[in-house]
Amino acid sequence: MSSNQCVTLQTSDDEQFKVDRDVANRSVLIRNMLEDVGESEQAIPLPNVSANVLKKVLEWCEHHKKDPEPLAEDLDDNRRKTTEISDWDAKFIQVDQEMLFEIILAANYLDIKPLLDVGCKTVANMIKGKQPEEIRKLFNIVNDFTPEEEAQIKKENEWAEDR
Amino acid sequence: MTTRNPPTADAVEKNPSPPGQTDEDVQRDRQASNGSCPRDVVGHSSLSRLERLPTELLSHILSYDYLTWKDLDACSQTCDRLRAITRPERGLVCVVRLFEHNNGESNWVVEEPNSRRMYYRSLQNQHFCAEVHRVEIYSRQLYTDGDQNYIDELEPEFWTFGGVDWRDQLNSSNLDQLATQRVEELVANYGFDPGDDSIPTILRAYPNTRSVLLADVEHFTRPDELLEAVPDLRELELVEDEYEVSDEEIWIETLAEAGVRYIA
Repeated sequence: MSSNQCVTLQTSDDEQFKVDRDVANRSVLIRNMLEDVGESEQAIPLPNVSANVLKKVLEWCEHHKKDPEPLAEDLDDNRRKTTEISDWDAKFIQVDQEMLFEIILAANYLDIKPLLDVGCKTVANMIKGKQPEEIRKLFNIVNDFTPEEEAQIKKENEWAEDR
Repeated sequence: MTTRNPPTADAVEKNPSPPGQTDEDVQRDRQASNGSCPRDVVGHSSLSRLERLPTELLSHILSYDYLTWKDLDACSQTCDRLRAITRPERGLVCVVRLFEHNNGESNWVVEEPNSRRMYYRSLQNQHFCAEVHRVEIYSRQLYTDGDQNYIDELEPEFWTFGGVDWRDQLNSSNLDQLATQRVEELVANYGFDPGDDSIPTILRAYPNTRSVLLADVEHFTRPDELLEAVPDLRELELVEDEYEVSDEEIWIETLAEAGVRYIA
């Protein structure tokens, strides 16, 4: 199969996307499936990804199709992770929270580690430097601690910090 | 055709909660679960989008890979699910307070003796020490004018350090004698070698430390010594109230090479 051949991807809501193999290959899941099926005209089913999310993911894959594969040691070296995001990725990921989390889930399912990393960094950057109440407000989190748990947390922090 | 599993099972997304589930249902589910275990997120439609992420992904985001200890601490105080995930990563905090004095002739460093952390460390309580993921070391410098009049400059903390207030016994005639006695007592019981090794010695007691804060004590140690003493270090915060961090460029360079986040 030549590298510029197209593949068809079928979403959970039965939409089909025809993309260059180079683009589809950014997903380790799809790449492995293509290697398994060999030459085939059949659409690759992606039951966990809807059309609007896949469209966005493919936009990222198209832009990054020529990026070198990340080295295994870079992926494993947690110490070297930073929360910096390239300008293009930062603009790409400027979406509402619903889409942001859908992209993270899709990147995880499709095994696109660099895109997953962009999504995780974005969420982390939203959390950074905020107080608990600000985090709750930002993500619409309900404080579900019981009064006893609240007291326990306060006590624990006092004890832990020893101040 | 070889069947390959997707990278992770997305339990939450594949198992949407039943329609019409109310907050009361969620609360009941929560109360039924053991509070010390991470809550099963399946069936909690009223949870926020962040909370509904699969545990594997949420654990990935809420980690030292992306966040500081302070961020993890804040997350641990938001809700039950985030707490269950961040609490183990956040760990316990050990606060060490040092008191140092150098008048050109004598030079001593003591650790605040009423610190509970010191007590546990002295017992070599391995369980406790393993739970500590952040160590904060604060130092108070005792300023003197460099001659015998230094006693007049001693701060009130010197006389109350350790919980015993000696100030009631002070008068002009016994000041020198009491100060000397006080120094000897502190150094004998709570003293450190004021040399370069005191900070690594403290840090080595906590094998799982990820985050270290050094306040006015960076001159006690070098970055390579620190990295050797704390092999899993992920972030270092240097705080200097009185003066600039000396050799800051060396610290930044060494920590960057080791992939440790530097917080100035």
